[in-house]
Amino acid sequence: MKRRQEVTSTSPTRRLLHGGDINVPLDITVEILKILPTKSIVRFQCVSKLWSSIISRRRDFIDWIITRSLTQPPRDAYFIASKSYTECYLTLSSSNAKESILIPGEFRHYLRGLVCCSNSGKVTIYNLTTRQSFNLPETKTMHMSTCFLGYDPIENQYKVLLSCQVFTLGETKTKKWKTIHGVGSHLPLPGGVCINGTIYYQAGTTEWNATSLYKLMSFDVRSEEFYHVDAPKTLMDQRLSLINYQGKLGFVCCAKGVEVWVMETQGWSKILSIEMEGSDKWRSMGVNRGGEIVFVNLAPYKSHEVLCVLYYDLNRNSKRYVELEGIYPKKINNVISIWTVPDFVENTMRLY
Amino acid sequence: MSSNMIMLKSSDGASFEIEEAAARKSKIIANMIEVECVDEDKAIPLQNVTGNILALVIEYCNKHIVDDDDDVATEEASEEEEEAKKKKVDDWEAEFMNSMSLETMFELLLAANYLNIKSLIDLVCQTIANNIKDKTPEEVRKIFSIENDFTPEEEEEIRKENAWAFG
Repeated sequence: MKRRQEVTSTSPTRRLLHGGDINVPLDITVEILKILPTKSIVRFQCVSKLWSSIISRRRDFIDWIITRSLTQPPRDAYFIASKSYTECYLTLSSSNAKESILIPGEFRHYLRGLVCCSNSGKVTIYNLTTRQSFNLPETKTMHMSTCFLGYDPIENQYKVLLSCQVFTLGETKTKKWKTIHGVGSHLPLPGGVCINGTIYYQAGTTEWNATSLYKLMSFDVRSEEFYHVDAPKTLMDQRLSLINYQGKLGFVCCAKGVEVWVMETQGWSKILSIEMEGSDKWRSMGVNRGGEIVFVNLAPYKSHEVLCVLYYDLNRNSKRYVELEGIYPKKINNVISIWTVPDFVENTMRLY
Repeated sequence: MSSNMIMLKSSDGASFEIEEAAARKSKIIANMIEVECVDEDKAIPLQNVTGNILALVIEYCNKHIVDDDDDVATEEASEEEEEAKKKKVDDWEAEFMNSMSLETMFELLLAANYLNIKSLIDLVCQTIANNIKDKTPEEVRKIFSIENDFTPEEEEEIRKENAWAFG
């Protein structure tokens, strides 16, 4: 009986009628937050500690924001670096808006709305939605070429892989790189991909008796173990781009025409082979949700060339070009590099 | 051929007669009807909903009674008719929400939540979201009656970090 009285006395509608405050249940608050534009969501982290933790920490909320981006009209994201990488811009382009953000370093790897970039030997993780950045502690192997971002959906953890060192995001206590022993010497090369908790990347072989130039490596984000992955000869001999092809590992080789390979449970299969003039000038950036392979022109760009991205529709066998002139905030002078991110998503996660 | 009518009684004692089909928009009332808790002569007491809000809920339910029941009809309806119908409902909903103060919206939202009427919850949430999206954190605190539990230093820190979102 006592309990019932309590419920009645705090009845939100009643108190509101008397001009008192209102008590919006948490699940309703979350429902309202979920449909706000991301800019408002980012601003409303300031409302209270509870709102801030929902927005930047609650997994179901963050997962919703990521999934929501994929249900909205596609936004193409282009990372454009100026000559000698002094500046790198992210340019988001949709049918009705263009926006450019200066990212804190040279583009290295993108995953789930976060970008891993490096700037004079330092690795920084940058959240493209909240524009928050987090500098990783310096380490001896910083001069090494590239780093990858990995996400383990089971533990909901993001990790940065730099050669054979791992850094776990959000671990406020340790804030240290962890060295993984037992993996043979190899040279990780840019253009890796993280699928379902595993980072895959092409690496240069360093053994004196190596029979091929390259090999395919994988890193299990959760167990932090490296593996060699069997790959077709094409991958061992050519520099190419790894892609996420409908949730499966794939690669696109542009050496002679365009070849697309996908790793199925029973092994690798070539799903596409087309002739394309000057294919070796292109580099694939992945496949978007519309089933188009996205290519960018290989650097260097000459001032008289038009900066553009090529979309190749696998189903219709058709091509379209997107010109980036006018999208890039500055005048493009002789040499720049571009990367694109098919199916760019928003993520409100706090980095530390 | 008249449909079943049921009675609803608000927390402040007002009684409303409503078609069963409309009342079934509320999962709570639909469940009560399923388990035969509803006595035809007795009104269903709704302790958390006042009369003025219940009137709005009923207005909404009456307006949406048709759309869910004509699954068969929609199959035959052309795309254009379908679109015209959707637009009519959208226009009605916009008008319905437009006449409401933010306070009433929250009361309606809580009532819809209590009565479990998903589509009304979504409609009000969307309207509130549109209403607050350009507001400052201070204004939002006031609207939601939220106490600022950040220290001035903490708040300053978050503001600085997210300065671009305040522009």
